Amino acid sequence: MFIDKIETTLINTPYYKIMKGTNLGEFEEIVLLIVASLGEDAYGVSIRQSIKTECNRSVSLSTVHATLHRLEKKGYLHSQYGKEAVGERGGRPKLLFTITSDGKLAMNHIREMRGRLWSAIPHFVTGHEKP
Amino acid sequence: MRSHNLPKWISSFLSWLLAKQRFDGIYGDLLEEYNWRRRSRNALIANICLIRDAIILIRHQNLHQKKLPKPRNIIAMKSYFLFTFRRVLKHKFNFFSSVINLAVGLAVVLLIALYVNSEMRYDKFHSMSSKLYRLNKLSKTPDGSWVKNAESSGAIGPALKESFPEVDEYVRFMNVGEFILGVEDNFLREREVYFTDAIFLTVFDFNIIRGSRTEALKENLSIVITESLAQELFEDKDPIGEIVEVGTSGIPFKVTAIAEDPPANSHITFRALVSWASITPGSGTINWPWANNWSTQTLTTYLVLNNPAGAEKIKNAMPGLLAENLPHKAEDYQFYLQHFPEIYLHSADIQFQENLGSFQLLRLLVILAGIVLLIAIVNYVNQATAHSLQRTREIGIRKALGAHKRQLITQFLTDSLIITFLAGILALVAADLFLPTFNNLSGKSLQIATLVTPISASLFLASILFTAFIAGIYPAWVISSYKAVAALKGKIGNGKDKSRQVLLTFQYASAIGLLITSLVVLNQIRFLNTQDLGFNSESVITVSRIPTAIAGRTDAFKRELLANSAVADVSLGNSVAYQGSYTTMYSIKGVTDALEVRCFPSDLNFMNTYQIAVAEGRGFRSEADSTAVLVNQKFLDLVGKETWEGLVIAADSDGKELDAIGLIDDFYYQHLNSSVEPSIIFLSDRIEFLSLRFESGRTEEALQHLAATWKNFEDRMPLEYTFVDEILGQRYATEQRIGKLINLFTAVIMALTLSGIIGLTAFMVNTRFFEMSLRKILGADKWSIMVLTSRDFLKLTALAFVLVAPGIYYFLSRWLEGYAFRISISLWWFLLSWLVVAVLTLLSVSTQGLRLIRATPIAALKNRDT
Repeated sequence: MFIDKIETTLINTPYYKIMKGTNLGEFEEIVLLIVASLGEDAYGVSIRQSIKTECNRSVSLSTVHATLHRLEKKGYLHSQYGKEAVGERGGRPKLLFTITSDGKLAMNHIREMRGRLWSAIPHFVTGHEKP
Repeated sequence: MRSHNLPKWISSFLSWLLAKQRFDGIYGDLLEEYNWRRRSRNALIANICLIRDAIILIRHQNLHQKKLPKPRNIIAMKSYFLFTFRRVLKHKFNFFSSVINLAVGLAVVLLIALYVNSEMRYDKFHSMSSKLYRLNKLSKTPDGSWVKNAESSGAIGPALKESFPEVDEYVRFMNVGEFILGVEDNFLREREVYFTDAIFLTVFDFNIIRGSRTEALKENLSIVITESLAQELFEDKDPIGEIVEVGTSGIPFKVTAIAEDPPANSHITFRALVSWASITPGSGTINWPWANNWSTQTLTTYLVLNNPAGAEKIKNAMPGLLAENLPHKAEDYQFYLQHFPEIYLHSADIQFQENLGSFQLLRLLVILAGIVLLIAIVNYVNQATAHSLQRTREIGIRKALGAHKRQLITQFLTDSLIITFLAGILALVAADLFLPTFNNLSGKSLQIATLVTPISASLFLASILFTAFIAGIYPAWVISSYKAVAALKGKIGNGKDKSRQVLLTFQYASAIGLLITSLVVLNQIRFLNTQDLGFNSESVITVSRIPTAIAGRTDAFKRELLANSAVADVSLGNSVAYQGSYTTMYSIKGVTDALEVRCFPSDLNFMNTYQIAVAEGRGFRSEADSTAVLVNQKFLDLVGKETWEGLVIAADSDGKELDAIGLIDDFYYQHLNSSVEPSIIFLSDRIEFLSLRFESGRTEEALQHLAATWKNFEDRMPLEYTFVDEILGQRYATEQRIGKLINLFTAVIMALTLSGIIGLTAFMVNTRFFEMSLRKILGADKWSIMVLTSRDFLKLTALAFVLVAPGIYYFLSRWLEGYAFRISISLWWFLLSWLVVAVLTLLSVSTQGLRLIRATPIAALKNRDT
């Protein structure tokens, strides 16, 4: 019985749902940080432009979109259509992204982990005096 | 600030493809970016970035989920391909023979498609093509029947334009045979010189390289030459404004334009165009009233109509116009209009046409290509069904495990799709390799590249899919209907399948039918070529357009030619056996008047040179015979007289009376599918042609002597001669071509059929190995085993023969009826064809049968499982 259940769930799960886990990739991390920093106005175009200005990195709109949706599926982001229709967008609303509590947790987790790792590095590697 | 919108096709494509809840966000983002780029950079970059972004945005997670195949199906698809691949590895021979079979079929279809494509594209490049018509007419022959031709007279075009508002323009187009063209000391002979109206270049879209399209042919003494002719005449000099001397008397024409050589897909060809103003009486230097009157029917008239209904109106009004202007012919001519795009393929019944295609040939080729493809498909079907008998266990297991019939069908269709696809690629390569040979056969210059258009490529893909479906569906359906239990117990497949026998019979029938056809066609062509023409065509050469330097000193010229013993006879006259004769009206004193008769105006030596025999009476003896005439038997039949003696014939044109002095044997100068016309030969002093008969075997010597003598008399005009038998050989070029194509198809179909049979016997030998081994042990000898393996095939060849023979007999007799001179179909050819097919079948069966005979029976009996 047990085995049957596992098999049916496996077969009924669309294969794109079977993912690499919930680890954050480098680019995913940047997108997550930028969404958080943009606050109320985080959507495809604004995120792409922030990446350009903040990180000096030119990425295509589709890459941003793909990453946003992946993060949403991992439960770190939440998307919602904005209320107002924008003229420059041909009357279409913006698809706005906000960070979820899971997302905040993940960000903190990464930050902590980075801090721990940084502090473990001997000073002669970085060239800084230990505080 | 101006805001742009996305191009319509992008937005509608995205809205069709993308999931609804994603679309607004993506669309808005794209548009915002697009507007931003339009402002900061230029439109081109913005567009390129937009398209790049749009393409990359088409990702799986953005798509309309319902329009995607279910993941389960994708996994299943993978397994279908996997199983096909495994089977290919296991049965390599079977696989390759299937691929090659289908590749041959597809390659033939591809070549024929190229041919059809090029034939259908003829004459379509003129922008006015659909508004153009040609004035054709039906003429009454002396025996009361009607023949079609495209000849009209110079006055009809202008008259039509004047009387019918539907006629926008008329174009007269006239060829009067070979001309000598000269630039300073460079002379050449050109046959494709046409006299035409100034509007010709405006109505027809032939490319003009230099000069003015509208002005070039307006003036008296203007000539337009093609690029290649310009190169030959002027070499590297600029021809515009230069003088070309035309004709034996050297009339100076000014070059006003250079045209590109007419493309290969134009039935109108020319190398020089001469303005009509030059031959209009009054304005022109050359006074040719006959080219501008109502009665002389020598030119082609094209009309531009602004309303298609005009064609019918003109046809109905022509009898009235004729009665008014050409009363004595009003009963004999019926004019009608032929739509210009139809001229190339649909003019087979119109006389005196060159450079035409044949719709019948096209249809025949399409049918034959269809048969070849069908045979290739049948081979695949036969092999697949036969082969599946070895897979009954696999199918049984699949069914027992719960495979649906639909899944099994998909599996078999995948097999045929992969095989056909590979065959398609192979066919492309094969067609490309074989194209030069095919071009040689068909007399075309086709290129595979013409098929590289979106339409042709998708058509080819569609035909591959279609072939795969047709080839795959029957085996798939048969195999998937096996009952699971029966299949597992091995109770399916005794090797005898009714449908397979039907398919084999079809293959045999096509092979036998084509073999008979090619035998009959070959024999008919040989018959036509060996037919006694009634004159010597083997050792005579002719030269046309005799220059004045020679025409003025004929006696001396002849004497000098005859001084060499290699020259047997020389005739300098108005006609040669195949050219220069014409038909005109004669009346017979005291018997009848107004008969249309073919005339051969000739000199004293004409009969001797061509060795035309006088059956009764006498030939011409001296100049005193200038009022004498020789008639042929057909002429007597027409007049209704038993004897030629005492007949007095008078030409309607000048009333000159000629006395009959003898009867000549019939001689044939035209296509042998038309019969001999009532003809007369009389003396004339006009000199157009030289005919020279040489002693056979001394050709070189005679030709050298002719060249030397020519040089003595005329050093400017070049000498160009033709062999009469070569000219006559060209009459059957179409028949020869059809014959060769049918031979080729016969070979391909035979090869395919036989390879199919080898495949089938190989399979049969495998399935009956056990049975045969048992028979051998029980004492069967080699022969009885051979008989057992081949009996079924031979039965089918006999059945196919009985089925196909009557139809083919009927078809071939109908074809032969088109020839006035034809062979009678011999039953022996029928039997021979059947015999050939039967013997070849036996041979291919025996290659496999030998395996049975050689094998040690004990091996098979021990290993029952196979």
